[in-house]
Amino acid sequence: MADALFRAIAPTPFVTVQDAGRRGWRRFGLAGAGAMDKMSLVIANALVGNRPTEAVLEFAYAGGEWTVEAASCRIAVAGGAFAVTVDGTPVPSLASTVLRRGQTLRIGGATRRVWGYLAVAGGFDLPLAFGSRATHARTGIGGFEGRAIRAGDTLPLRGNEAPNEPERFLGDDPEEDGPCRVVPGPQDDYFDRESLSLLLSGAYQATWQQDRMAYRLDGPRLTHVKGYNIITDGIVPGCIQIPGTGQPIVLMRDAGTVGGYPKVATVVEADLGRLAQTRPGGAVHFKAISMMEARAVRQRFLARLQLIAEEVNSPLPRAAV
Amino acid sequence: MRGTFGASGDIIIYPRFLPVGDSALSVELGDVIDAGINALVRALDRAIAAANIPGIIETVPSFRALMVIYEPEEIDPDTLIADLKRLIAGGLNAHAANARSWTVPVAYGVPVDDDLREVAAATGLSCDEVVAMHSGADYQVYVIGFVPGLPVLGGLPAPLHLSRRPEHRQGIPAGSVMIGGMQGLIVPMTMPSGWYTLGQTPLRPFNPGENNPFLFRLGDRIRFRPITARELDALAGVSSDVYLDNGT
Repeated sequence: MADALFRAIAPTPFVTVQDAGRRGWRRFGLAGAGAMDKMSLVIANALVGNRPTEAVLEFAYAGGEWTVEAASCRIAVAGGAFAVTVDGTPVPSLASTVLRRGQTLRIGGATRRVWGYLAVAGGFDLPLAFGSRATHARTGIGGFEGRAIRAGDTLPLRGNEAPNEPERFLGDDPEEDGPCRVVPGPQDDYFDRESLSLLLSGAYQATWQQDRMAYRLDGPRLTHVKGYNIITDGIVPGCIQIPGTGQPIVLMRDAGTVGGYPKVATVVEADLGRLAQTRPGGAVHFKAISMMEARAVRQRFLARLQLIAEEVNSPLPRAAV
Repeated sequence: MRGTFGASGDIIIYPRFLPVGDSALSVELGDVIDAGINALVRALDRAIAAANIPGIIETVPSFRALMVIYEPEEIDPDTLIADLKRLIAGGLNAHAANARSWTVPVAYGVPVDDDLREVAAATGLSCDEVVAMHSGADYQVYVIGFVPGLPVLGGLPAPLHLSRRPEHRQGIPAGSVMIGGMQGLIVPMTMPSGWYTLGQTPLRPFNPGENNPFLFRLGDRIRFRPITARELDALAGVSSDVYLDNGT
């Protein structure tokens, strides 16, 4: 049997293989990486019958052109509202579809959100690097040769043919709004009370300075009361660093493992993917919650991910949606 | 338990347990870069590993703080803090059983000596004096991070403490031996840096293909030994084990 391959004809510039990210290596300086929007990762995988954390292709704003060098494969796209076509025919959004040998899948520009996820049933047959297939392009670890996908790359697939199953649909796009919840700290004592209330009451905007490492926000400036250098300590995705400019930088999945700017607060996991999906110019409002409240928010978020995966696996007829 | 005065005159008592989002805590043991406090951080790290507390996913030691990443589904933050307080109250053993020592060869001023001369000018020392001072000191790995395997070293002699450059330089190659602020480091992979390059070592702190990809461990002791550019070439690709003075 010939190898089943998924070929990049004309990928957009920042397509990377991502999964739920790696754990356990931060003490050696390895970032977790993983999907910027975990909910969309789960949805894309559920639509093709994969486990929620299977590796997918992540892209920003558009996905480009792809084809399959195998009898067929089942694919699904989630995340932003992308214009998806197979040989020019539009594919319904948030639904799986079969791509046959020689057909061209085109993932055009999204009308909203930033990140998109292309899942293939059975997944990509790529090696684990430090327990995960997530790409950390900055250090050349994981995914496909540790880098973004280029035109002509062929990614090995685990199956040579789309599984003989009905297509899956997701009824409603699980859109959420509301403020971006944060737990104050660990270095909220580097700021005066006015600055903290500015962070929580101010209107911030996403800017073009956003990538897998960090999102810079534009809005009210915070004032440091103890300078803006701390003794370098651990950071996690979601930490809101305030450098000398006083403008917030939200650290994302590819951020380094330690940093030397004070962290005024940390975005909770349930809202980090939503923040990542905010386009430049989009509004960002923060709301402070306690560590115990954050635990409850996280539990509800994880339960919701599970519910969505189950809903997709027992779909309503399309007509009823 | 220890205390310091905060910016507004309030007294800060350590340890402090600070929330980092919904699934991490920063346990601060002090607010200075200091061998004793860093030894406590590593001691707490070992104590946590030995205690096998359910729900802890990973820990990230740094100069004066230990980040504890946990799964709140398995342990709630209040219980975790209580467990950590109990561990600390029980006494931490700061004497690491198997600290290792390395002698790291460095070709100073190689391939170019621009930064070395800049450091000399800024410190009022000659280039030879900078080399003698840098290679005459005992260092310890305080932090591994930012990029994979990068050892951040404490022990840099005070006359060599220099502010980092305001702007990062791109493309600092693997094997660069650098200084910045109060610290030293050995570059594991091409990266940007605002620090000063004193020379090159044949050692590679990160070797992704190997069984043990990370050369250094927290607490390892390091001395630098001057070599010539010619020796640097001859040592390229030599197994790192030869630079290990003791320990395994």
